[in-house]
Amino acid sequence: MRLSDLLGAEVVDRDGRSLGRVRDVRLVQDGPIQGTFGAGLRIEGLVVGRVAVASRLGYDREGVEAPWLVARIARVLSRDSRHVPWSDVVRVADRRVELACRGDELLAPTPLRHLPGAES
Amino acid sequence: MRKYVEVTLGVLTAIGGFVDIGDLVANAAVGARFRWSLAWVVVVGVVGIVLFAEMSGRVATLTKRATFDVVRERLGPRFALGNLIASFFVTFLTLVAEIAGIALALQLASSVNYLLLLPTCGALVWVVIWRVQFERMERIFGLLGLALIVFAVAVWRLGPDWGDVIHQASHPAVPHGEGRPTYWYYAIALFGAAMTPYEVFFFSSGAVEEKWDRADLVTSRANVLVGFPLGGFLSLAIMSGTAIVLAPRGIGVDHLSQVALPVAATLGRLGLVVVIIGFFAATFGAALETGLSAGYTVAQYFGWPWGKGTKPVEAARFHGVVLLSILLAVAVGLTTVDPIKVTEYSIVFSAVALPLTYFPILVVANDPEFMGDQVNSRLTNALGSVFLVVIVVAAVAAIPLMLATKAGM
Amino acid sequence: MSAPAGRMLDAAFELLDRQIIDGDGNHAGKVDDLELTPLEDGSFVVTAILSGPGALGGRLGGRLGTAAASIFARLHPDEDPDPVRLSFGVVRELGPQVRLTTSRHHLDVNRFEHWVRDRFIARIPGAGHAPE
Repeated sequence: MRLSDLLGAEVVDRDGRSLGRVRDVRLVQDGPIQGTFGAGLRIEGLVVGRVAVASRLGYDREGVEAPWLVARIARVLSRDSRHVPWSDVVRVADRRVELACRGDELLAPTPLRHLPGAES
Repeated sequence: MRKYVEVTLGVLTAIGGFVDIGDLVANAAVGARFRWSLAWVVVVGVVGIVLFAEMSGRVATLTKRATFDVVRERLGPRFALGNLIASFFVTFLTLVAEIAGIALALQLASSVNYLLLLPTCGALVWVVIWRVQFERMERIFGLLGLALIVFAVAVWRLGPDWGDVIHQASHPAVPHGEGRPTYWYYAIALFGAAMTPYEVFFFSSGAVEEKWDRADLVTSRANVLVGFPLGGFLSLAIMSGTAIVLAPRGIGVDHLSQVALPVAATLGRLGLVVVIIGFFAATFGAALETGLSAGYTVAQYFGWPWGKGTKPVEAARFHGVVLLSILLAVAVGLTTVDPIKVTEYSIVFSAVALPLTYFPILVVANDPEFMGDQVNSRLTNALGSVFLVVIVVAAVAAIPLMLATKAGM
Repeated sequence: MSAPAGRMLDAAFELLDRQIIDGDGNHAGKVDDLELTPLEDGSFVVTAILSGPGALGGRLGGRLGTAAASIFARLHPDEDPDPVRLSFGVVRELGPQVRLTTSRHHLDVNRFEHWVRDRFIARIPGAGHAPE
């Protein structure tokens, strides 16, 4: 599977209701060792929402709030975004992701802390 | 002491490098038609380009990422590809105009038809990109571009009634016989001329190539904050020249020679020689920047190796794009399209394409992941947000106004 | 150096479309897609970075994406080529750029670059020297 098979796929809950599309795929670094990289990146869950721009701009992370105008608009657009734990995913096929849970049981994604330091 | 020389040289380069064929044509044309009633746009445009260039320079310095790298990452491959196509088209159009501008400047000097000179001009631009080191190239053409100060000398010699000039500039009104849409169409053209996207592609890519680091931020800010406003001063001098000499006689600007007329009329042959040197340097320098920018944008979108400082064999696709762009620009120029018209379209389309690159830079300049403690200040963000609105409004209004006024006829 | 285990990141935002820098500090393409491999417990792990038109085409979608992918397929000597695949094991560091431990000369990302170089750029006088 490729990441792009997930991104943009429609997400449907247990009752067949659409929750929007996969906007991002959250990874956690606790998988099998990958050479010099160390522990591999494993899928932890999906970020689902109706508007594409919101997560792409990065305003869903901690401490990113400026400029006010843009941050405000991005927040409003990402209001309905939800986090789906990978364990709730039943099936991925034909650009469609089916869930085992109901849409209203899902929570908003927790903002990630940004990676430290620009210069390395 | 060395640092001081460095900063001074950089500032002088920025002044000389600010003006290109778009600024020459737009400011002269506006002066001849609207006198000083659009002078305020130059001021707005300069503040805009200072903001934009400072942000993208800072982003490039701290993250080692030039503008189109940022665009691709923030906007995703689809939207960024649309952006690439639009930005490349505008940059290419500007390249056509600049190369034609060099040929026109040489025509003024030699009376040889510019069409005969075009292929040589294109070849010269390519040779300089191929063989001359980055900083040397910048310095030579930036400093030679200072010859355009002759416009300020001419205006001073013409001695207009300064009270009247200041009154006209500070109380902008649509002149009699001009429609409101035409006034705003030229306002956008002037704005686009000051804020051409290629300047930022070039500036940010240069920052990455020259391996700027935190210590260089001061120098780069000085270049932008002092150099660009003084470049804007040259723009106003060009505008004033045609406002004084051409406007009362009802002469419009549809050839480069008319841009030079105020100088030739007051300072004679010597003035004309200096002005032609200024034209040559301004257009040649800008042709180098646009030619390189054509390569920068494509290479940065796809992640290809790019750079002017390394051996061309190590950035083959980048140099391929630059070479092809120059060849194609010469070919387009040879179709006998009117270079002044191409220039006018290129600056209006610059205004249309501007939000596509301005917006992602504004967002990333606020991202602590990349910028650390060098994120935008409150003042920068306040101004940056106001300009975001201005830029979007100008971009949206540009094409309808172009159609409504038949491109300012 | 790699980050501590357990770190979380959003793949599309923090990995995709970033510039790849090889072990020598040179540009080596973009992270155009990621290869995900299933584990026994039903989870997936990122095993490779996919780069170049073969991977980008799929993400562009539509006619344009198909065109990009088919041009890539035509230029490629293999019958049914996979996109360029960089094992995640050669990744050294994630950040504004994705840095690798290996040189790009050992990677397959440069086929088109080499083609342009050998056919055109290297034949122009002065191509082998940096500008002065």
